[in-house]
Amino acid sequence: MRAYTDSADDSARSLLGILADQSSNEELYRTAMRRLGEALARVIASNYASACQGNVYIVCTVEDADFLARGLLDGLLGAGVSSSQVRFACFWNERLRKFKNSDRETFDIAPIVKQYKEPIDVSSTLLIMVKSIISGACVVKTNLSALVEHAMPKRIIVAAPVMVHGSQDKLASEFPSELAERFEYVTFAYDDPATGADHLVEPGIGGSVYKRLGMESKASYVPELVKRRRQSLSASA
Amino acid sequence: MPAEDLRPVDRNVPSRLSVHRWKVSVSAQRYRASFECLEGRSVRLSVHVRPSSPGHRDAEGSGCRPDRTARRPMSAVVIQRMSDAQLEQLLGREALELRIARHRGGAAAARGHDYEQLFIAHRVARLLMKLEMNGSDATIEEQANEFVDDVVVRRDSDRCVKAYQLKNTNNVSWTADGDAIARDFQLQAAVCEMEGYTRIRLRLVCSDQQRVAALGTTLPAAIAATTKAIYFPHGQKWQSLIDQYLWMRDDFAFLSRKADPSSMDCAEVASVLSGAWTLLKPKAPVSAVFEQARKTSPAVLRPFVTADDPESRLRSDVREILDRLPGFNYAIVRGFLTWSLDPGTTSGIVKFDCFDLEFGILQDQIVQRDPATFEEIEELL
Repeated sequence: MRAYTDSADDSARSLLGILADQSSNEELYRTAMRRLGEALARVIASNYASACQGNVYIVCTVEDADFLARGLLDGLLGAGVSSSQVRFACFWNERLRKFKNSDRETFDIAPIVKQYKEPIDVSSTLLIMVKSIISGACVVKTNLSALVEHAMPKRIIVAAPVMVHGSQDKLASEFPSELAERFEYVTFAYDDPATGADHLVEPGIGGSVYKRLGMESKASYVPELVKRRRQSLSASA
Repeated sequence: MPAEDLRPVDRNVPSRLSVHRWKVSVSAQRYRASFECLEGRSVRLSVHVRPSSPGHRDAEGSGCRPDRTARRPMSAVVIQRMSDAQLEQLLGREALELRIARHRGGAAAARGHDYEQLFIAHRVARLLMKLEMNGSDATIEEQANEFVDDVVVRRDSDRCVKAYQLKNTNNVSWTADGDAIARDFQLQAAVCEMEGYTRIRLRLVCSDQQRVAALGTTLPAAIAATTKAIYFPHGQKWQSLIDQYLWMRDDFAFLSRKADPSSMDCAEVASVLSGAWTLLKPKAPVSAVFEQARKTSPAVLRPFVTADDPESRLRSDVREILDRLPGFNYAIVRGFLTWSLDPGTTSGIVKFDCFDLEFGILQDQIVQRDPATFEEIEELL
């Protein structure tokens, strides 16, 4: 059963409807995801205005980079955050639940195989972990662990258009309380946990985000946002 | 030096000397041990005893890294497990009924228990270390139908057995419930000895450090020769435990595909080992658990060190191409092609190791593209 949050205005609800609608084509889906990123940015800029005065570290996974995270980045810039305040990181994770020679799911991990991380002092930032949906929290846990191994951010916002009921507690329980108590969440809707073997949440974001975005292989996908920012970083070095 | 620290010695004992008991004396710091056969024959052997690494202390506080240089000839010792009929004949009907009851209760309690799962994953990691270092495989068994049987590790070729009873409570004692635990350990030692094991180590594993200390001071004399209480921590979140206990982190890190793995990476290794064990349990050689655990894509565990150098798997024509890519750095680390792009913002590890067939395909693709920049092969990596 879906429950909308107070942040979900008509526009956000309509965009979530486009994601859930199986007839939405790839282009429409991509645009909706980007608009949802902008909408999340507006909520963050409004609710965390003082935190947005300092450095902001936007962190995402590869499938979200060019759409949701791009929208969030543009939205923050549009809300007055300067580009010099913003740093960006992108992770390529592989979700593993079973071995190559078995159909039984006997573990659940999301190892990082590739990463793009712009240099920043994590301890003095507002870290925004943005993801299309927070369900099992495994990927978010992995990527957050990679970022906070040596330093703890001042504030951590986990932002996603849709979260599964209970996922926040699950994520928080994975970390020491000193870190977990810094977590804040921004979302538009809560859905019930997935029950099927495919682990897809209903209505969620309308299925597998890779397929809906039209990605053939997320492992080989290099986001335009990564290419552009890396080029710009090299030029300024 | 206590006899228990002489584990690396017995791999040098020729298997044809099939005696069961040795009296061992070692001059303190020297590499010479005198073995006197209790059957009357005397032999004198020179052996290498490596002092344990001061930086590595295990859950029992006395672990030593196996000797990488030692290669043990495998002996053909066959140890038959004692059947119910044999047990009844040797130790009586009451002992048999006790063993059956213990097994039934243990199997029920073990299902899905985090404490057992992490303990076994950690045992497997430790045993894999020995396997790689000196080729010494062991069989691991869960709920092994014994008196002390939550986890049993056997190395029959060495006549060596180590059995663990796990107690994730703080009120355990040797003597509660009519000396129940002490009796289990005494019976287990007797069964192992009758089966032909000569190196018998029984461990009561407890998640409360103060309780372990108390168990140490109250250990009954009758089982003191074979039994110890040891500490193993309990917690719902494996990563937190791995973060907290350096010895545990080191043991999982040893198997990671990364040279300097984070606690998250180590927790992933633990999860995969546990997943492999779940598929193979209740009994499997440790080598089989490793083979299973390596069947992930991307690989989470590194390959074992072999005579075949992984560096040699990176072809010279591929090296030439990679060497000329501006700002591209690479190295073979733990058998994997590990790379980064200056100034270090982009980095990764190829999903499969250098021995994998897919690594050959990747190299073909790189040569085929003949890239001039990193961006031209980025999607392949």
